[in-house]
Amino acid sequence: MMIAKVVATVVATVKDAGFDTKKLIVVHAHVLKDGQLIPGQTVVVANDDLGAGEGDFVLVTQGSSARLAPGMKNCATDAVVIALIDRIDANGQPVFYKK
Amino acid sequence: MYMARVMGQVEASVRAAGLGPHRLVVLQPLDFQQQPIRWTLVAIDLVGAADGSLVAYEEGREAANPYDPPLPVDACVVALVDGYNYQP
Amino acid sequence: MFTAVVKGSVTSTVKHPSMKGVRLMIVQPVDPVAGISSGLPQIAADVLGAGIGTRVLVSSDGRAAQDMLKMDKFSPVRLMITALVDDAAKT
Repeated sequence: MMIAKVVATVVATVKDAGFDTKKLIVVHAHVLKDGQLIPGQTVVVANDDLGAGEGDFVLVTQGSSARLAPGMKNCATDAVVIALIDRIDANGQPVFYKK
Repeated sequence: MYMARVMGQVEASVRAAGLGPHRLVVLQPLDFQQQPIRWTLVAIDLVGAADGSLVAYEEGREAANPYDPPLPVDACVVALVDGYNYQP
Repeated sequence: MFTAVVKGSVTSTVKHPSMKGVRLMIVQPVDPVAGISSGLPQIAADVLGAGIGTRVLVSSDGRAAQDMLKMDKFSPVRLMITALVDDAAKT
C-alpha cells in the first residue's frame, strides 16, 4: 500500500454505474527517506468510502486488490482508500501524527 | 517476493471494514547488497516483524490471499529473513 | 513468465505455512537470448531443486504457484520457479 496525502477531489457525473455515489479523491504518494516523510513522485485518483478530507494522510491499496475493499467489488477502480492514518513511526520516532 | 527492511509502522483507527486489526509496517525494499531499491511501501505483517528486521514481502493481488475473505491489501510480509547466500 | 539465473538462496524459519519445506531462491531476471540481466533480483519459491547458476523459468502468477505448492487459495506466493531451462536459442 502507499502512504498518500489527499490533495483534491474529483467530480464526475458521467461514469461507470459501479462507481455509484462513491467519492473520488486525488492523492499524492509519500515515502520515508532518511527517517523523514517526504512527497513521492506518484499522484493517483482513488475511491474513498471512509470520508478522507483534504490534507489527511491515508493508506491506498492499488491494483486488483483494491476491489476487495467493502463495496468495491463491482466498481471499476484500481485504487481505494483502506485506512485514515493517525500516526507513522520510523525507527521508533513519530514522523507524522494527526493533529 | 522482494527483500526489505522494516523501517517503522503505521497506526490507523479508521479502517475499511475488511482490513481488520492487522499490523501495518513501512518497508524499505533492498537488493542483496542491502542497498535501497524502489520507494518505501506499507504492508500488513503476517509474521510479527520487528523494527529493523529483514523480511520478504509479496506484492499484488496474491498479498490478499492468506485470509478468508481476502483482505483489501496489495502488499504483505510473508517471511522473516534469517540469512541469505548471494553470489552476484 | 521470465527466464532468470539463480544467484543465491534465502533462509527463513518464520514464514507463511504455504512455504513450509519450500526453498526460497534469489533469481536475477535475464534476457533469454542475449543473456543480459534485466531488472532487479527477486525471491522465488522452488520445489524443483534449482542450484546456484541454474537458468530457470519463473512464473509471476500466484495461481501457478498454488498449483505447484499443492496449496489452497491461501498462499501469498507469486513468483515460482516452474522449469529448469536447458537451452534458449534464437529462431
